[in-house]
Amino acid sequence: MLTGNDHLRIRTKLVVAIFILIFIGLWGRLWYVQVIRHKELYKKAQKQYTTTKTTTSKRGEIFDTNANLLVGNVPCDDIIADPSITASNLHRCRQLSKLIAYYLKQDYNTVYAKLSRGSRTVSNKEGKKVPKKIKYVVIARKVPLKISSELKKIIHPKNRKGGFKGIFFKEVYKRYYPKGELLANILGFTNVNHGKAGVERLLDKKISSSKSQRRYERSRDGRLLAYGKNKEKKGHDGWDVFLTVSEPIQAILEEELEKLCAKWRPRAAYAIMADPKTGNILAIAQRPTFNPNDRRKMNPSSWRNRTSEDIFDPGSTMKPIAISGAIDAGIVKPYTRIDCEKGAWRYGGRVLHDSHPLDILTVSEIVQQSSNIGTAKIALKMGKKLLNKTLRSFGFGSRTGIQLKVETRGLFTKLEEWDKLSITRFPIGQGISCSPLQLVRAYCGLANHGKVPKLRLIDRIKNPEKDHPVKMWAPKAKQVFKNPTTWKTMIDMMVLVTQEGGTAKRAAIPGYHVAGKTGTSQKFINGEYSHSQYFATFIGFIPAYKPAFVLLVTADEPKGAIYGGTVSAPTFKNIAQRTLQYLDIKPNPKLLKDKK
Amino acid sequence: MNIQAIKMNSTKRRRKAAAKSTVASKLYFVGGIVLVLGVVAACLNYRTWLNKNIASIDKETSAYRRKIHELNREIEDLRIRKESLSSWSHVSNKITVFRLGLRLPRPSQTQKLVVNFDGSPVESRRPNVSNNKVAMVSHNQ
Repeated sequence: MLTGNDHLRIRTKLVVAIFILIFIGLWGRLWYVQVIRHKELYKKAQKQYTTTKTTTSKRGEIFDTNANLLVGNVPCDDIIADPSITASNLHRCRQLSKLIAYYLKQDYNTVYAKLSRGSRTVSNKEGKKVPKKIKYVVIARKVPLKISSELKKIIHPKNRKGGFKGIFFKEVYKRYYPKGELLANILGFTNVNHGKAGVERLLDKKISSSKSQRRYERSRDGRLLAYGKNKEKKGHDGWDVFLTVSEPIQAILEEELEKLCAKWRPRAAYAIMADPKTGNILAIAQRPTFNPNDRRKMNPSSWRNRTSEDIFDPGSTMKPIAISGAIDAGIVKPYTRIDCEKGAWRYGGRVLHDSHPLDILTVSEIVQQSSNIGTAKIALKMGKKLLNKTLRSFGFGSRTGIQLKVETRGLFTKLEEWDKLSITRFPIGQGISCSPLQLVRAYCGLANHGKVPKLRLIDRIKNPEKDHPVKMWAPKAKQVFKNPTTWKTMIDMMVLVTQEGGTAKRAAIPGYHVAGKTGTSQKFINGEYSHSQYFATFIGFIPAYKPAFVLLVTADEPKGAIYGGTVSAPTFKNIAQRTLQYLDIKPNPKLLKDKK
Repeated sequence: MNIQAIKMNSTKRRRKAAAKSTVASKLYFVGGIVLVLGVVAACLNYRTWLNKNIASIDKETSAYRRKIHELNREIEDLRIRKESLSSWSHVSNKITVFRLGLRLPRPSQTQKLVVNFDGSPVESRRPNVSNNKVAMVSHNQ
């Protein structure tokens, strides 16, 4: 017979046993969940509270030498929609579409079609057609910050009037050229964040940025949990580039070149200004050009950089360079008299003409009046070897070293391949071709006491994470003249070109000595020199004896006039005058008095 | 009879003493566990409280950070616009539109200023430093 105590004991044991069983069950379940299904469930949970955020970094900016911005990045937004949310309430969807269409100036129906289509039919593995939610639709790309922030305020779900769900703003940058056409051919442009032309292409690796990616545990409202796991793959902004170009001078150059084009309507035109001591390009422009902000109007012929890619016969601008070799070697003196054969001279079975009949001239007068015959005769006195050496030492036939991706060497035949006429044609700039940059470099040599510098366009580059920029290396200028007085003799002769009796009186600037040379060269088309298409060039430096810059102005096929002294010299004068004022290089009062 | 009674009393006493010591040790044991659990609970509470505080501060910080980020983007946008408006092509267009009749100063009217924004002394007339800007001004004579 069981007593009351026994009953109690049994009941207690039963309860304990049940508890133990429950406990074992719970432990079993815990074991199953925590150990056996650990990986699977942990992944599932992690997916829910872990998120990855990608942040776009900025592409490097491009500045002029004084840190004026030439290429920058405009912050803007891509507007993205999740139609699986927006399409859930068609009345709200219509309101949202109206709002977006109004702010973005888009067609209402197009926007509504995007927002209201919440799913699309796709075939699954068995080939059955099933609906699939659409969760990502781009409504507009690169919307200006002003518009997108206004829209953001209205659409935000926490807006007083309700706001809208399912619209997201993705922060992006748009490459922007704040100065428009200024220096466009040199700066180039990008396509989908990659440089396609100019400096943008040349330094693409340095300028390019990398995206940063952060994987973190988030709270319910999507914020990063400070005490959660947080892994970051750091991206970086692109390097900034500083050019040797000066924006104010560039603006002067472009404006005057534009005036030249309006007056003479050439097929193309270029102007280059360089510092003869350092080889730094101070300004460089060409026409036709393009506005990199307006892609619709761009065409490949205008974005090509003609100053480094194209070649032309330098014509008479070659004469001072050839003659400098003869002067330096002591073969002729400035006062040596040479018979210019009254405008026509037969050599090697061909007749060489001057533009107008000239009699006996001194070497100085040959340069001043640009006699082809006189120069050819000087070259004959020099001989092939010296002429070849002189022209090559001034850089003809070799690249200038400027940091531009496509650069021509020009056309300059090897000495062994010269024919009988070469010695009379090369010194007058015929049969030899160079790029405008090569010609500028050669004149930098004349202006810089015979030291030919390498041309520089990129001055320094800067890592945004470091304070100091990295200066781009420049090799030392190479001395060409052996005689220390040659440079002065040459400048004396070249100054005469812009004075009374010279071919470029229009390039003269009161109060300054201007040394230069005109060039009117026939274009070589289909194997022969054209008699209707010309390059009109003027190149010079100023102040002649202590030059601040070398300036080249060339018009390709000008209409109405063909001479460098008529077409290019006035533009040279205007650019030089304005630049001298900008650089605060005062005129020589003595020269001003002499003029009066 | 007495002997029996004495025997019973001593057994009871021994049992009582044994029971007393068992209860005390059990209480001591339970007390220890409670204390440990209490400490653990306090630690957990403290951690939760800290996390809550961190979360609320973090929420505030991220709101400020967001605001700063937006302001930075606005500044960047304004900087680009400023550069665009200060370009010579834009300025010369405005000069034409408003018929300002400006002309270039004579060389004797110009003066060059070098402004060092970093407060360092003026070193040269043609700086090549990114922080410095060169300006041209004209003055009446």
